[in-house]
Amino acid sequence: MKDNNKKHWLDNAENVNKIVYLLYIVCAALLVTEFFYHRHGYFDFENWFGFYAWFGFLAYISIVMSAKFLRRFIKRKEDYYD
Amino acid sequence: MTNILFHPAIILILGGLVQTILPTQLRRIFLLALPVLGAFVLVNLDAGFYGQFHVFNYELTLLRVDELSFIFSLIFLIALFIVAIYAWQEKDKLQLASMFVYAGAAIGAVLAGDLLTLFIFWEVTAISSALLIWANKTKGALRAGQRYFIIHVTSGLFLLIGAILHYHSTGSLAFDHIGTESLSGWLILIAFAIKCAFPLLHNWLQDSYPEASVVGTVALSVYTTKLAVYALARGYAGTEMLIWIGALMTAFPIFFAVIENDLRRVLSYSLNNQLGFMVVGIGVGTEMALNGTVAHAFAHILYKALLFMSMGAVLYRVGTTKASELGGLYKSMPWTAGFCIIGAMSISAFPLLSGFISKAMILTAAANEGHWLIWLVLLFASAGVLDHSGIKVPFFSFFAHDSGKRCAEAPANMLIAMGIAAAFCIVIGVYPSLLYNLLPHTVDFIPYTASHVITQLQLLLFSALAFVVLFRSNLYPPEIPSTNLDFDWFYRKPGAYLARGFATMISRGEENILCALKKLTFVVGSRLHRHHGPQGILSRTWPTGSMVMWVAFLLGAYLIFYYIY
Repeated sequence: MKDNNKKHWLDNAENVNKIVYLLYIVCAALLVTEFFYHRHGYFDFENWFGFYAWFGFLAYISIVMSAKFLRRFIKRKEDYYD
Repeated sequence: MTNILFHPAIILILGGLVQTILPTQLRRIFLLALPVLGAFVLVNLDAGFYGQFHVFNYELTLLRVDELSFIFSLIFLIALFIVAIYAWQEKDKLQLASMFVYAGAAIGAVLAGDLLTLFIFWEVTAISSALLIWANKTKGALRAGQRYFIIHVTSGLFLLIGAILHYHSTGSLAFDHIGTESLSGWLILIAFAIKCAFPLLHNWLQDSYPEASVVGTVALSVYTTKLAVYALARGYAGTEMLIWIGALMTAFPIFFAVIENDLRRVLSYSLNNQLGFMVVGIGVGTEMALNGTVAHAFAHILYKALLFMSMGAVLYRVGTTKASELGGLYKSMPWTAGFCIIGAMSISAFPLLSGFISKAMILTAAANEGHWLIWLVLLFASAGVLDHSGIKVPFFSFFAHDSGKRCAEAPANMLIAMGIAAAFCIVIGVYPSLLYNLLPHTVDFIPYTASHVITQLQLLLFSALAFVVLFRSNLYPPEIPSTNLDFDWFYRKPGAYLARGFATMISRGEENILCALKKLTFVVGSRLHRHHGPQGILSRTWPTGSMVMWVAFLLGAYLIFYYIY
């Protein structure tokens, strides 16, 4: 269509890097907040340093990698049921 | 209430049928007016029972309005209004009719005060939603619709048998708390479990929803499963087993969602996972947990419809929702991409969006009851939601590598529908009290505390960080055209094979029996011919000797009987 050859901001790899760096900075800042407020948790383990941060990180990696592993067993051709 | 027409469900069902004879422009406005009229009638009904009458000995209640049925009916009507805008250009009148009958029946089921009325509307949703799937007219839709239909009619059968047994043991058909103390309770629970896509009963959902039309899938995503959530909340609140089932439901679909290629199927797995959160809330059963479930259903209907609408728009413009064929679409469809991101962030429960203020209640309620393991599973599943719905759906369709596909932006009516749904996600997220005031119980929960906001952001952004790490190191599983086996394999492969084998066996058996019958008639015939035919011994004129023989035989028999008695 009309914007077929238009260069977009995200086409530049540098700009994508900027977003990624911003994510790094925000993540670091979120860890720093651990020193400045008292968490009202429900369980003791919530008070471990950066519990939510590393739990989220590890949960995500384990979900994606085990799903990838699952593919070995359950992946079939697209027309398998046809 | 004296007039049966003052029932939101009847208005929608009749209206859905009437629209088929209207000219195009009038039909469009008429369809938009129906949910508005339905909502007007609903809001003006005071809490209470209406439309009570007797059929044989059964006392039926057509309409029960209380906090729980009100909020579910309301969100069903709001969703229908949005879907009607989304379907503005839809020309297939049959599809529109099944959609409105389906929505009306779902509202009728929610408002039903007794199990028999519930059953009738339950079956009407099954039939109309199957028609909605078939309306897509593809081979895949036809087959998936057949499987869907069989499964949902079965669910209705369980409900009917359960309801009859329930009546015989309690003497009442009223639909209140049922519980699992009796056989009838179990049967009705199975009916609800099928419709709620419990683990191992879930495949109809991922099987059929992606096969429906652009518009059809959006409507399907709203009603069937949330009707089941309503029914479970009404009949089985506090049933502990549901906590574990719900937790399992949040966890296992995410693995399938991660490797699924069809993005509408990814959203179907994700829908299944969201239902898990609601089922946990029902199982916990405290006031806060039930509030959380209802709030989550309300928020979920809007952001899930929004996500399905955005993928529907992609399907409408590009012709596919396979991630392996998409990418870079934000250049062509920036508005659709933006709305999709709002839906994705809502379902991931980012602060200031609707999912955050509803899901947090369920997690808090589970934690308050000391369910630490369940709580960890829900947290784990939340990271999974961020992957498949938060990142995968928008990223692989609108960004990722540029597929080179260029198309027009979605039509205006679709953008308006998505815009309204997105606005709801934001308004509910920013002003949670608007939703909290509608909940069945008084809300004693503050979502925006420093702890909640910071911990949620940590969870989500570090999960996003994990995505960046995996994607940049090429460890993230690539999108490949494929079919992934799930539990439905058992009835689609060996099940179908057995059924075919059984059918062959029966037809062969039939042949054998026919053959044997033929032989038998031949043998009997020839014997008869021999004895009774022209030359047959018994067809001769009887000589006196044989007469004497028969008399002697009869007398002998008489003698024997005489001695026996």
